[in-house]
Amino acid sequence: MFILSTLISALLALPADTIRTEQIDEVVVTSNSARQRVLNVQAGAEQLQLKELTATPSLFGENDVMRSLQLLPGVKAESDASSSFQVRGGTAAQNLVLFDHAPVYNVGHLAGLFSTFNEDALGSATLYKGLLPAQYGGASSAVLDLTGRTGNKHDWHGGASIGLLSAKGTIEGPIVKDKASFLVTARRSYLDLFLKLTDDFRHNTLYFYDINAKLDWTLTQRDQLFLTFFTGYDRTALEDMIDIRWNNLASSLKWLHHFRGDSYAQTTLLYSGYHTDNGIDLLGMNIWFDGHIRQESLRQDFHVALGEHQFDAGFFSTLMNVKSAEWQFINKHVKEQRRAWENAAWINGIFHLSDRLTASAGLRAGTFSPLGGSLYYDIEENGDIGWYYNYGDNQIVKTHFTLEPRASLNYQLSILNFPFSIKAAYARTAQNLHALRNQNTSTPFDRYTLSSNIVKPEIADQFSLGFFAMTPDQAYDFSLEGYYRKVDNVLDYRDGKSFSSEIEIERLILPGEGKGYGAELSVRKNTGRLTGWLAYTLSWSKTRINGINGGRWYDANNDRRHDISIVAMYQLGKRWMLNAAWVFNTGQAFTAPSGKYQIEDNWIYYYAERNGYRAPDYHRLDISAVWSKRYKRSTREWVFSIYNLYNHYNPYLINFEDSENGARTKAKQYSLFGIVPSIAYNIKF
Amino acid sequence: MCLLTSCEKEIDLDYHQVDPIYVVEASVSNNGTEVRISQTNAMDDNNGISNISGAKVTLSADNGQQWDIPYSRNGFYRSSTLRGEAGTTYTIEVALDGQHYTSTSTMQRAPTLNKFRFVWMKVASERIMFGDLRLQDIPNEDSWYFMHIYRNGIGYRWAVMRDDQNPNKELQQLFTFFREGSNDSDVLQEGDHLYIEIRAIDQRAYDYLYSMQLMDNTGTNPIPNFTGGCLGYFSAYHQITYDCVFHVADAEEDD
Repeated sequence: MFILSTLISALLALPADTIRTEQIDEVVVTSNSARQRVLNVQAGAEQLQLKELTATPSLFGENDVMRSLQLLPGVKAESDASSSFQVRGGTAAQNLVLFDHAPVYNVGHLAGLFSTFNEDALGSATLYKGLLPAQYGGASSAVLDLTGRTGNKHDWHGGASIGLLSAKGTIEGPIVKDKASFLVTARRSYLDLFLKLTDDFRHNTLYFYDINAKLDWTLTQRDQLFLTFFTGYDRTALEDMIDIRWNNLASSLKWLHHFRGDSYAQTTLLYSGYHTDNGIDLLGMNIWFDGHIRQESLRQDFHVALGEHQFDAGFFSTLMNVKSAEWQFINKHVKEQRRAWENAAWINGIFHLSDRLTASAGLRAGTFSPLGGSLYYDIEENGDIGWYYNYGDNQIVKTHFTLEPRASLNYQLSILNFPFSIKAAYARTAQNLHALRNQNTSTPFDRYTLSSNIVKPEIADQFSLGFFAMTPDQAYDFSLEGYYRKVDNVLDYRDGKSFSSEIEIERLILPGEGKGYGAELSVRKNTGRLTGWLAYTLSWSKTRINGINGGRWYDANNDRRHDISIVAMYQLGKRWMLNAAWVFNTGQAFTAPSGKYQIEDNWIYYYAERNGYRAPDYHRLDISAVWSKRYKRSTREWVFSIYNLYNHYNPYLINFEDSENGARTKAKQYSLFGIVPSIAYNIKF
Repeated sequence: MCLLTSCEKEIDLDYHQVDPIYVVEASVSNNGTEVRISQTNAMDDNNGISNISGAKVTLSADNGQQWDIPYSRNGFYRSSTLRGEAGTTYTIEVALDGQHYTSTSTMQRAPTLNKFRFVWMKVASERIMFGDLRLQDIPNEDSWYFMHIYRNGIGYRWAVMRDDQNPNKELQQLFTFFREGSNDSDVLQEGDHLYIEIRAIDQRAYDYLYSMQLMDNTGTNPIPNFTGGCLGYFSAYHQITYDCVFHVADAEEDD
């Protein structure tokens, strides 16, 4: 009832009432090897190992790359109801998630309970925690670069998995032996099939599906073509009254040409689309609203290896089409949709300056030009429109130029035979697609807009210094990193405004600045029956916007001081793998009232400060046990898992209520999940 | 077990102590002029509204007329004979403790009620009682409406609406009343008296009340309506009322 009334309230605005490795089977995020962590020049980069291991314990028994990476140092979960992640004080909306170079904007299924990425479709994943090489751009926080797995060119393989809420199947094999292969994997939830068995819920709809397909064709010894297709769809409908849908589509065609040595060129054509459709039809009152992001791009990469030195250069050109919203409310129909042309060129070099010193340096130059064909405005101080501009189709409204220098240094030494490195890095990044969220979690009601004549590119500068060490046998490794991050032109809602207040998104927002700083500590055990890691993050994240909180700095709503993750994996005999993960964080910042008063015979709250309060601490323990056996032609696996083993009710939402005369005000915490046991069966051949 | 549902529990929160802020709620209507001045209470204050006397309250119209609004009692400043006229823009000024708080509002024409009904609607496994209120839009002008339902004299539900959804035609507002079988104090009881105020308001008042309606989602104060830093708002409105008694048997079923 709570979820339903929240949904209805939101919709009706009624009162009160978040180097490519392929041929890998299963996904588990254990991050890169100890040696890579110490020697890699790129600070803040985690090449996530998608190993043939059972994943860290997961919700509903579904191995999930997005949920697993939330356990890494400096990475936080957006919320219990989100597959999105936050890095070093940045928000999920400031991240860029790429699947074979194509952006994916909503990474969640079923309101974020599952990630949109089927592990069977993934080959490799690298997370850049804001310190990006110059070939990456478009994110003021982190970039998660996922590469789809290619099919086997020699033999046919496949697999199937049945979990509590969803099932999936995978098939791969040669099209032309040793020349061309394909891989197709699809997943669908079947909760709706159970609903149809009940009288009360048979007319309701609740499902998601996703399909991944990849073709790999070796044209010559030097030339390869890759075609990737991914789509995901979610629909939740309460009979014919409420309907919420969203859809991701990412597709790319890549031509890879190898030169002599390790040099290559890649030409990629990309299409990416994200679309939401939400409606309500109650007692004759019909409301419908939708929005989309569409992107058509050309990307050219060159990689040149000259001895120990490596150089990357390239360019990128994309046409963006963003509909921030289209509303049909009874007979009212309004829409805001804009287009833009974005270009970037980059050069990045990795230089081995000595046995001990490696450096990476790069520069990315970008232009972003909003295009005519729809209205642009001047906005007055109070949010009203002061002037309208109607530019012709494809006429350039304004061009934003950005120069983004990137640099990273790695100095290696050995102390008592312990390999040891010191890394220092700086990166400037820019983002021109801006997301607006009322809550701290991504929802289908998020609105997106592009940099315009009013909205400037979000520019982030990050500095980082880290110390890395490992034991000579690589059995253990340690890291300690500190960072400072500053962001200009961050956007937030004006006081009193919500996504539905105005169709013109620039009337809803105010620009400001953000900063974040902190330290990340990790200790890992990499060998033996027991492996795992401990990650601790100490962080601050703050925002200052004129017009909000009296123009004073305030804690960002993703600010939390201490985060701890402990992950352990134990191989018990030949058949069993036991896993456990414990997460803890101190309370997240949120806004609570500091007074109350009466208006129109209703008691309402007085908010003296933004995000001035702390939610209760969050913690939970997840465990799983995986039994697996390899048969002559197949491998079979049972996965038993329990999410939130000790059934701790963690804060998801905090509301306030009082009695009719405004007395006895109570703060009420709502939790999403208690203990959730699950079981899944997997077979691979 | 909380699985895809919401478990709730009460938590202790150490509320920050802040200085009280004045709240001015002022109106000029077809029934008279009323200003209530109070101040914010601390979150743990259970003593009810904190009334403020001793303010100088002045109302002026765009035709140059000006009136002092005398203090009545319980924080109210009233003049029952000072009625608003449609099309006139009024300015209210409150002088208190050396501070001046000012707001303006333009009086609207009278709204028209077409229908109010109780409707049961089945949503998944539950039946929910809605109130379905229909207004006839004031023709040929931009209009904004405030609707307030009192149950046995106590504020029960309210909403604001603008006419751009169906200009010059019938406008509809739904109120979510209660879930069948619920035991909480929100459930309408047989014989409950419902009193509905329907006001045609101006855009400034609508913007204030609409932002107040969103407070649960935004966690911010409403858009300021007064200059000077006080809370509250001023509205010049034309009001009609409707009375009814709740009988479950009268509720219609959604078809």
